[in-house]
Amino acid sequence: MDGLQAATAAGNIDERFVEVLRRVATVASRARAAPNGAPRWSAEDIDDLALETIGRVTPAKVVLAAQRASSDIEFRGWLAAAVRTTLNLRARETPSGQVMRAVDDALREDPLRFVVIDGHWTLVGDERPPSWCAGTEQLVREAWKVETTLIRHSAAVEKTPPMAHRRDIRAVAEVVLLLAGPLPKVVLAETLAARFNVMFAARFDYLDREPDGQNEPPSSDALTAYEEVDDRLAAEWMLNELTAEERRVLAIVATGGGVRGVGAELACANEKAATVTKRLHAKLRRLAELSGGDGEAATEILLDLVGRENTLRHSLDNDGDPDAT
Amino acid sequence: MPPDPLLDRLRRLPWPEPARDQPEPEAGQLWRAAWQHVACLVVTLEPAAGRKVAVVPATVDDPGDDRTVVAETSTGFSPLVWAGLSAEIKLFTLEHRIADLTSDSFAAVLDAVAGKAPPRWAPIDDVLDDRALIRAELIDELQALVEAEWLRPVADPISPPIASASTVPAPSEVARILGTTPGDARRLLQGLREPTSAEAERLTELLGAPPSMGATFDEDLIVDMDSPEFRPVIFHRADQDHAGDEAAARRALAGEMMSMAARQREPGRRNWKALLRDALRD
Repeated sequence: MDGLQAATAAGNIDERFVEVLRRVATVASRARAAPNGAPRWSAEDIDDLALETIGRVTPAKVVLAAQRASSDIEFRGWLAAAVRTTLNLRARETPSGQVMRAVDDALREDPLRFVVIDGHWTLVGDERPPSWCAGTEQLVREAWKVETTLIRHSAAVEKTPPMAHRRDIRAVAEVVLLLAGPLPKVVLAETLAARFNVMFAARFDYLDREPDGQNEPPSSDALTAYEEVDDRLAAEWMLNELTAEERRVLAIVATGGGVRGVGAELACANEKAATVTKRLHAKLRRLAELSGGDGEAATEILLDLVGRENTLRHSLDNDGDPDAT
Repeated sequence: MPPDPLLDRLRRLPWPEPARDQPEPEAGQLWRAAWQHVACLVVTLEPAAGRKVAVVPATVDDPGDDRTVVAETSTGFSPLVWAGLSAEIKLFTLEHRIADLTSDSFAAVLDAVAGKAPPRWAPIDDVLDDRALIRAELIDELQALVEAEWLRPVADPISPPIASASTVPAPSEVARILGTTPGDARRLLQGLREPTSAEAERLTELLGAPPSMGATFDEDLIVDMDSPEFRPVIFHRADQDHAGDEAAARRALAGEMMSMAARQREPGRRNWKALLRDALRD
């Protein structure tokens, strides 16, 4: 689509723009459920997504983005990112599927305490009918009364990653269900998402290797120290912490390559290459901290995951679309 | 062809039009700057000074850092101006003006440059902050525009470029070999214009060694040629005659202007802009 960037930068919206916008919307929608429970995205759904995106970012930003781009490909990449953000914002209106999955996984491991009846999580032995209709605010307040193990990105950073121990998920769920009685899965997931600060996270993961003893209270050491974590789980979590560019150059940095190698692979200049290299070093250190020891095994797994992901991406038929995810 | 409903709906939205002109840069303007494969948005802090202009970069999307200002322009654009990253870029990298900032917005930008504006976003103090990548890209883009150059480096600006040869041929001989006038050959030997690639090949045969390619142009000509006013037509010439190489097109134009000026006999300082406008009118 030659000339797309230049035409849009001039404020000229034509068939080229619409064609590219539809194409990036189609690609972005492939990984998402169709609206309103339909089996697939219709042409109308794609057009609605496209129009919603332009309306959300505003035409002024579209023109400015085209002005800033150095090529059609770069501008197209910006459009693709804008569409993906629209889809992510739509998903924020309900608890992320990932949060519900994590809650389900954790509670299912303890069938002596938790059971699902008619789409409601219930404490075993609780015969109350589902009747909670007071919203999640009170439930979240109750949830905060439960002490849980704090997981940090690193010792120097206050921000916590979207992760929790499964025993903590169960402890909080138990207290919430004691108060509310049976709760729809989505309400329990919303409550736990608020409690674990993952309301807008695309993922919510657990770290511990096996279901631990249910009656085993966390030791005081465990409250301040990191427990041993499965290398694979840590590597899978770190995979999602990497940007697309970081995945491309992970092998270079992990095997001792420096800024120059990173810059050559990303075709970028020094400041960016240096920043990406520093970030990868910090993330690999974090991976080692999470998995314990020197992190070699977890790093190997991470390299393997990245390599397989790259192979899969290359082998997919994406119509030559550089924005396919 | 039946109408496209999506295109119709999109066209009904309010699409602002960028100015896309090339005035002499003044303070508080939003420009597109580009050179070779680098492009970015910049806000001018002052009028141009010689070959340089002081700017700060701008982005389109949130977030910024603790010195980023969301500016407004008179035509409805809202760039995020990263006021903590100022630089003096080469004037000739300004491509076209997009819009003028409102006076309030520009005042806010100047406050942010001076570190006096209240921050809208947190500072970037951790490399793991994804905004560090945005900032790194902006720094690299600005650096590319600072270092951009279309003049060739001249190793020894005092000696003629072809002094690298063991003997300097006579202008008449050079003129005969290159099929040009003795006056043009003399200018070539004096470094007042650059040999073309074809000429360089023939001169290599004559001299037994490649000639130095640098040429020395009038400083005032260089400054005037750098003005954004001439960029569109130079860009067109680059496309037509130099396989898109804008630097080569500029050097060729400078050589032409030096030849043209040498033929004029009026005393006093040359009005290079007037000469350029005349030469580029067609």
